[in-house]
Amino acid sequence: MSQTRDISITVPVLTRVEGEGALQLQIKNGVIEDLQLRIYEPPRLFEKMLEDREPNETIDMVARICGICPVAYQMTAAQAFESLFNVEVTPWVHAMRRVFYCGEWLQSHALHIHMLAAPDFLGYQNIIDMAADHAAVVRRGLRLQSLGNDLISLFGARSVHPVGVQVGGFYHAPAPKEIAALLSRLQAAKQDADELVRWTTSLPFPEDRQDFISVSLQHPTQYPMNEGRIVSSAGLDMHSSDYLEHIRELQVPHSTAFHALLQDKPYLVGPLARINLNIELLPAELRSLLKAGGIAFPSQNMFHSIVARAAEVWLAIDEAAHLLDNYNQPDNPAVSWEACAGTGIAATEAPRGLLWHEYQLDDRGRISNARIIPPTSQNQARIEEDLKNSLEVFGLNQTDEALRLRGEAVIRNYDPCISCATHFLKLDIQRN
Amino acid sequence: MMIKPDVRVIGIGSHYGSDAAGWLACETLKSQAISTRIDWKLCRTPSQLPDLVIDYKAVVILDAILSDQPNGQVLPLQWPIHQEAYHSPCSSHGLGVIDALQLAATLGQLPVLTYILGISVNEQQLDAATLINSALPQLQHELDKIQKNIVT
Repeated sequence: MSQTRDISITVPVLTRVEGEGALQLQIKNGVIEDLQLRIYEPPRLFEKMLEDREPNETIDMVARICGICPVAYQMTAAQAFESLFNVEVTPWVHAMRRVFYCGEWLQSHALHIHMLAAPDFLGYQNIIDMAADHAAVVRRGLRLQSLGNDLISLFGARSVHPVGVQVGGFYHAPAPKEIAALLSRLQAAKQDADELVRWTTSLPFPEDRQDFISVSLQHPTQYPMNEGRIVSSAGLDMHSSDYLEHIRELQVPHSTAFHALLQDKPYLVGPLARINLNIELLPAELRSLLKAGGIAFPSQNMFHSIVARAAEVWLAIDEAAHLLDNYNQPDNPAVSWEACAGTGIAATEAPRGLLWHEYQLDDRGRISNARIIPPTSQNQARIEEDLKNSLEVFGLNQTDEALRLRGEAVIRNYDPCISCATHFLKLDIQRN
Repeated sequence: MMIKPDVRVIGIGSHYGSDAAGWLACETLKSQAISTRIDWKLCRTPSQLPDLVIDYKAVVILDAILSDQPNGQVLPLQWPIHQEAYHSPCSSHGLGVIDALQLAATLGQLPVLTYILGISVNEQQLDAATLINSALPQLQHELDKIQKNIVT
């Protein structure tokens, strides 16, 4: 007969995630009684700071929400304004925005795969310990991350909080000489990308199949990044302007970030959700690599997220190289536009998943109200659901240390960006 | 023919408040520099450091660090440096400056001569320009000393 014991595990500070969070777990009589992903990072109230700002000012400001995914915030904001102003950008802007976004996927995913997630799979405390035995793997990660950063700098002038985007396009078109230098690095990186996909498919994955709904953008001809309709594995298909009719944001006492539910259920956004819903849009060569590695998508195993990220690194390198081939520098990197009052909405695919923005503008063309729904906020309810399921499958009679390590690995599968997610302030008023 | 510089000076930080001290120090020293042996670089996150230190004889990192010393005092440290000696509270993804240098060392790409010139920030909230005004003479002196070390 197996023994049950009461367990209380608190991980006060989660490591290898962006931002400040904690995990609290109570097990009683062999059952998880309480499980909370606690996000205690102070609220940032960013939407309020955007009020009374002009569109191009806003694009630079929202980049400051995240040091890892500023491009996603800029792209989403620019496209929300463009939808309101009826701006049709040029094919050059379309293509170069995709390259810009490729840079962000590349740096963010390379960082997460090698520095944050890989130590979990290979049994190391951190990347420094791992580097002693897997130097070539770590060097590859640093190389890919650096390439992604340089791709962002090409259009944004710098890789952290770039400043190159405006409504209608970019402020500056890179010179052909700059493009040629990066193009040769992208072509050389294809070998790294192949090896990365092979390596991630060879990692030891726990058997942990779960039932969850995937949500992402979907485009008829392109793997989703900047454009598309919002779809779900449960059959939803909507324009981004209809998103709020289907999701509900709610506060929970233990988090300064909103939780979100899709038709009252937790749901997944991010690389695994994207690849689950768009596998047919990946190049045949990449699909063959994945198939040869024995990982089949769609997958309901969250530990396969690292493979999905590696596949998107491969895609980002391949797409950026194709789009920069035969580059022509335009006379004007942006189209003109005129502000008007109304509501602009857009959604794009940040490295961590669907990012949704809504801006209401007044008659002066300034923001009167802003709403931003970041991916980590949307994933929070799913993370808690996953933790409960995963730890039960793992076995609640495992040691406290083993449960802690598994819990942290489960959370890291989502690559949570806690700084992006903290949006509201818990206000406690006591009145006599 | 251009000769590759053998010293890289890296200012680490951001645009904001006293955290900008590393960047401002780097830019100010660069504007006053005569030597062509130095290559100057700004860096935003420590995770970029392992790639930035490759193939130099010496690396000098300029960074604002929390200490109980007067604001703007320069704290010169030479690698290897213990984590406890270096109080930099913020790091992205838990990889701080010392972690990043340790990673570079583990990968065998950290120069033997690696220094941190910490610009002391105590509890007071000061802007970077004020810190650098105090720190600049000492920073210049330490940098000159490091260059002499390399020659000898």
